Amino acid sequence: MKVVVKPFLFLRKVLGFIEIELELPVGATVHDLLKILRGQYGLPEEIELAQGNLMLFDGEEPTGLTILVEGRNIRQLQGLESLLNEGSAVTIFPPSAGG
Amino acid sequence: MSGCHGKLLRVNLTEGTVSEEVIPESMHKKYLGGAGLATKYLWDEVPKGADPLGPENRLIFMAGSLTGVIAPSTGRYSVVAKSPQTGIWGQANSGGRWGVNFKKCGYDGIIFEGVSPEPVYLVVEDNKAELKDATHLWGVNVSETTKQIRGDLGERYSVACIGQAGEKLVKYAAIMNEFHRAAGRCGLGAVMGSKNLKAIAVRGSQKTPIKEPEEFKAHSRKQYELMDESMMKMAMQAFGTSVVLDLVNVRGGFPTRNWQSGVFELSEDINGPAISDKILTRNVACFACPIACGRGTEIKEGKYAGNKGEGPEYETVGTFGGMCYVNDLEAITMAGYLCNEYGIDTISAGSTIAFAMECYEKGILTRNDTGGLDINFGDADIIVDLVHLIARREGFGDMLAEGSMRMAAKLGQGSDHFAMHVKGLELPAYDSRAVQMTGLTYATANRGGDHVTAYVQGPTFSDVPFLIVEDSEIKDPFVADPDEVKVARDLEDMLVTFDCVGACKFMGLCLNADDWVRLVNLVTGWDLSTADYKMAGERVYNLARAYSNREGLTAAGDTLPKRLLEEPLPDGPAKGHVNELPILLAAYYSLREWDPKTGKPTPGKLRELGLEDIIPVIWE
Repeated sequence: MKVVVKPFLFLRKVLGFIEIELELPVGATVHDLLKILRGQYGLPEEIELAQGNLMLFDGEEPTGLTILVEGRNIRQLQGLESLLNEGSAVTIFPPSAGG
Repeated sequence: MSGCHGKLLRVNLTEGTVSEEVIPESMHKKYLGGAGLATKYLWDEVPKGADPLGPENRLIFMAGSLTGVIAPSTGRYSVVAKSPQTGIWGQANSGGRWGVNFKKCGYDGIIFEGVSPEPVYLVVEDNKAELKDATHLWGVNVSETTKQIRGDLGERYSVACIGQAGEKLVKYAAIMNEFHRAAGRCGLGAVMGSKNLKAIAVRGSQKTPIKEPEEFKAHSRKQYELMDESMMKMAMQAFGTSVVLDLVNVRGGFPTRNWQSGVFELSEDINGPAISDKILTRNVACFACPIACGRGTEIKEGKYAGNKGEGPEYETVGTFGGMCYVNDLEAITMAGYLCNEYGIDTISAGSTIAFAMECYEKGILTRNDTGGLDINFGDADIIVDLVHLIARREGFGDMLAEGSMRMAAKLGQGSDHFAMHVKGLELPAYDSRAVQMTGLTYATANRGGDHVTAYVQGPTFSDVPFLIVEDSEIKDPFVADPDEVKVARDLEDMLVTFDCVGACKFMGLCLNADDWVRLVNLVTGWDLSTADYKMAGERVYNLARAYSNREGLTAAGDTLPKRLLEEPLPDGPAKGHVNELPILLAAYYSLREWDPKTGKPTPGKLRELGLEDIIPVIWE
């Protein structure tokens, strides 16, 4: 099945794309997707910024990422075990608040 | 006294007199200074039913105990008056350095009363103040007023002033300081204009006395270190307040075409990175701020190229951009610059224009009403042109200058359904149908349709709780959970204290309450526990509420525009959702101990908060 991944803000430079379509096996979860992004697309454990180092992962846990599937934070779904579907849009943000 | 000077200036504009008054320390501590103390003076001095634009209204500037001390982002001041926009408690708050420089003069606040027969401005220096003629400044914009006053007095003076919008009594005129910073909301610039008061120029040399200077320094340093470690800081520093735009849009809560949709498909043209790439020239920090979210900008392309200024902030992009369906960042930026020059609140201005666009789309407004102008969604030029007309009240601008509530009342034809205000104050750029708790806080915010009273968007849109309260997590923003109204109440009570002590609410995202209260205690010498401090916030919150009750506010006023209550979001993740307000409101009233019919704080609650004296006034 095809899944669309859209990183935002700092993560675009790190991943090197604005939007990408990935082929994943049926039944794949957010956890599976993150493994691919870390293994094949270089999503690091932490990124160095002018403002300081931004930790993205604590082990397997994406503590420095806000991940949404179809606009729903995975915390309000099944966390890392949230299932992806054909055509799912996954958006990934660094921590951001204010405004 | 520590943390403050214990005195204020009273300026009677009718008589042209200036005098000094002592602020009792017990009163300072009870209301925490700043907006809280100013609210107490408003309650005491402005009679029920006073004309907001008449001589009885007071215009009260008040710095806080932390204003001007070196701690994270502690340079803010508040202005309080009866609002001409809402007819209830009005408060606006601004950063920059004006509040700090004012407090250096040896005063904590200024109360303006009466109306000056001629335009004047106030000059405040070390332990003295005088009124000066401002006839030559009337009709002059913010930057020219600031430059002329500095030219006359000296470059080291900080100036807070109104532009033409305040003079013309635009209902949402702002008070500007240092060119670009705004005490923006509630139309307090119009109150200043009604008093024929053009500006306040300040320059002083006195330090805020600190009770425990060494301990304070060490503790404050620790708070800066905590801020440095915060992930929040990194993103806001890099992208400014617009850092949240994409997340809000992805969640389907970015008001588009006057809230007809929650998804703006052209957001990439106007988001935080677009600002960084196209117009950002430098970060701008308020006094003692470790973040520097302000954007120093220059328009480099298009018909407005060459103009420089600050902003746009997220709200300016949200209102002039998403709500007006404009994806031209340069035009949005120009509209923001003009609002700063004329002294206008960008939220109410952009939102009122978006309302007019929908009226025009529906044929409720025609070219006969607009003076021949086409007011269409997506027209980048018209948002800029209309700001000029609003500020001068020229042509159609005269109607727009009244704001969306009064326009809807005049136009009828069901336009109140989509006039996006609460209590007359236009809503900011977060569609609460996508995050239920934000809807409650819009309905209950003391000054009307406002997002920073509870600032619950951290927990709702960003899934980022505030550390300043014990628990501000929202489990699922789609769910209107009555058990979670405590989050709204706690945030309201805690964040109002930031307007009292003179600090930026963003610090509350990253710093915890015990540390924060210790900061206040080390400066003031008070011995407040965290519970005491929070209760003082609750006291201020209820006093402001009681003020509005006295002016006629009842529970019926705690509501939302019909669009949010009745019209489901048509697209995005929250498609089909409306605001389920009643269930949250009932729980909130119960928790607050507010009477569900009259909307007044109960006598028991007022007694608990030490506000016995107002019981007979509002429960007469």
